[in-house]
Amino acid sequence: MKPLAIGVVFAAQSMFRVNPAHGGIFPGAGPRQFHQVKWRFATGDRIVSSPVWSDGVLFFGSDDGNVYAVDAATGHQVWQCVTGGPVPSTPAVAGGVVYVNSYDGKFYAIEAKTGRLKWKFRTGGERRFEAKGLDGFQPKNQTFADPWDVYLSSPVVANDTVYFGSGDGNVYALNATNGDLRWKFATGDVVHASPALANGIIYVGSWDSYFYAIDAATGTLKWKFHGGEDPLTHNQVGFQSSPSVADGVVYTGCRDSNVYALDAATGQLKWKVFNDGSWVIATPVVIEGKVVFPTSDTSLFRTVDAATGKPAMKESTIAYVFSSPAIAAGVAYYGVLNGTFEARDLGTGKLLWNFQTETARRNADWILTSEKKFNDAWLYRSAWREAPVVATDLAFHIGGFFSSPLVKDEVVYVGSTDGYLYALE
Amino acid sequence: MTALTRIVLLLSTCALLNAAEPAGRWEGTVRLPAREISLVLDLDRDSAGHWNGSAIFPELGVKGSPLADLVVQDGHVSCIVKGALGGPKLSARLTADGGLQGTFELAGNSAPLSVRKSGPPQVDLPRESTAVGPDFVGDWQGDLRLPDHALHVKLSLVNRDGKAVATVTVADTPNPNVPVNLVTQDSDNLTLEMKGIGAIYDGVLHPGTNEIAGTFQQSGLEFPIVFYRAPAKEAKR
Repeated sequence: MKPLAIGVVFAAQSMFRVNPAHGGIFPGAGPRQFHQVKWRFATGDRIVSSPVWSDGVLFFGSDDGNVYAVDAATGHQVWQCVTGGPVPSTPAVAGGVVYVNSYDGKFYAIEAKTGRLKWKFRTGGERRFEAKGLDGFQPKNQTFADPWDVYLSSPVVANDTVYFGSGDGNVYALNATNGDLRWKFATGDVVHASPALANGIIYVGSWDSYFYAIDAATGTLKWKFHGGEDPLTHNQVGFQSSPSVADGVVYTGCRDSNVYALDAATGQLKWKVFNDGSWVIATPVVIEGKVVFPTSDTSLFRTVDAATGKPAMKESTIAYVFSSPAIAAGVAYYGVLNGTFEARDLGTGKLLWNFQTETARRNADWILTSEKKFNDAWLYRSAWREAPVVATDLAFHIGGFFSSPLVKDEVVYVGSTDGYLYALE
Repeated sequence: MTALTRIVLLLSTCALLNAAEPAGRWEGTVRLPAREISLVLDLDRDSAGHWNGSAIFPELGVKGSPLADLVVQDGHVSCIVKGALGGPKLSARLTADGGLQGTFELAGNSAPLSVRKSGPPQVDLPRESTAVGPDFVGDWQGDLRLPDHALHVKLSLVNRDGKAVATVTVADTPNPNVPVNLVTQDSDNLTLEMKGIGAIYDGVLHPGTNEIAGTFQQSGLEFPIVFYRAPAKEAKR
């Protein structure tokens, strides 16, 4: 593939994946070489949320229950706003207000300058996806909450309306000014994917195995698409990936191992790419006629033809990738769950640089092998009772990256499960 | 004392004098027997010259816990991390190479800690109560709806020195007076933090209704309570 030029760029960088369509393409360039950690900001728990930028300030959530505003130049805290639960949701900033979702079952609107609460809205409550015998955990008749269901839905804001999904199974549309409910749309299970908005339609998938297109003004269903099901272990079901929309096509990953390209107007399947049983959690990026996405279990960085789905590039990333790539000046930036952050040339697929968190280098509990792969045989010694859940939680503490990076002025900002927000230059 | 010893002592003293000033952000680890945990310690002086500080344990869910009994003297630092993890005690000494080394003590256990200065201090000052608006000031009462019965609760809100003070009294309980350590009002939202019993009241004053509708949250449970203005001698039931 020839080196890719910068595609469509957007001025706004104040919501998940840059804009309402989840473009994921950032204006300007990021570092083509790694020089140093410019600063790192400590929070009290893992950071799954992705940072967004507005007027020189970074906004993000932490699982310590706070929403943070941090000076992008210095890495010093501007304010913190307490919520009642972890905040693995990416804020959106619009009109001087920060909108974000919390595990306490409330959706918050916070003044961007002061961190003071403007309003909050109570949903039906949060929960993780759960199923009997999930992923083969034993006993098979026991219901387990999915430890890999790490995100909360991130809001999208447009036309004085804020849209987001909830663990109560609904997609909500609220008046952005006062938090009044405009409408809610019920799906059959947890909605932790983040809705994309294009041409007056909200696009989002649910863990009920369906992907939905909803009229943004009225909350009525336009169409729905059925993904795969897995009644045995419930491992290969549900849309955890958040979609992107480009040129009349919706692209989304799915736990059923496919990346789907759906006609945005009708929901008709244009193509699908199977990933050998691996989840695809990241949000695909469309640039220069290619769809870019990393995979989880197969640990690949892939590009396929946007029109046909025909494979174009396949590079190894060593470990699972949930982080959605940020594209800037022909470079893809994304984090890996083993605590490595990668910058890869989109044209050649060549790894330009990588960075490993100190926690990952320390490798306490031998979570990683010497090749930086997850030490699965050591971690997942038993499928019984809470053992696999505890093992997964332990693995998360390696300082990995669920967070999706933000690129601004030659600096990459990303959160890690070691509790730090990093500024890499 | 030999000349060599004097020189060594002199160099050591110089090194200690050159050692880092205690004020700053210190980052490093505590080495528990089974694992290493990260520690971020912020130490600073306030405008009166008194030391204050806070601690972050990024892997343990602790952000900005205040340091109590903080003593910084003659190259020694000691404190208690208040309100988190059972209140571990930190004791450390400035080292010649600019570090801070000592012990982390908790529940009769002790582990070595080692931190190095990474920048200027970023002390998290404890949250303070805000003033509440005239719509909130005064006496309120309501019934806390528990699954099998209700508890009558009185709430009084006043402003003192620009900060709200709340008094909460729960009738028919062994300890009717519930200390409220933090009162905040943001827009129409009122939050009362009652750290002593691990509870929060979270309510909204709906304009025109003269009611604060909210929930009492404790141990993951939520129970509704609506406060009405006290002039109505009995709360609506």
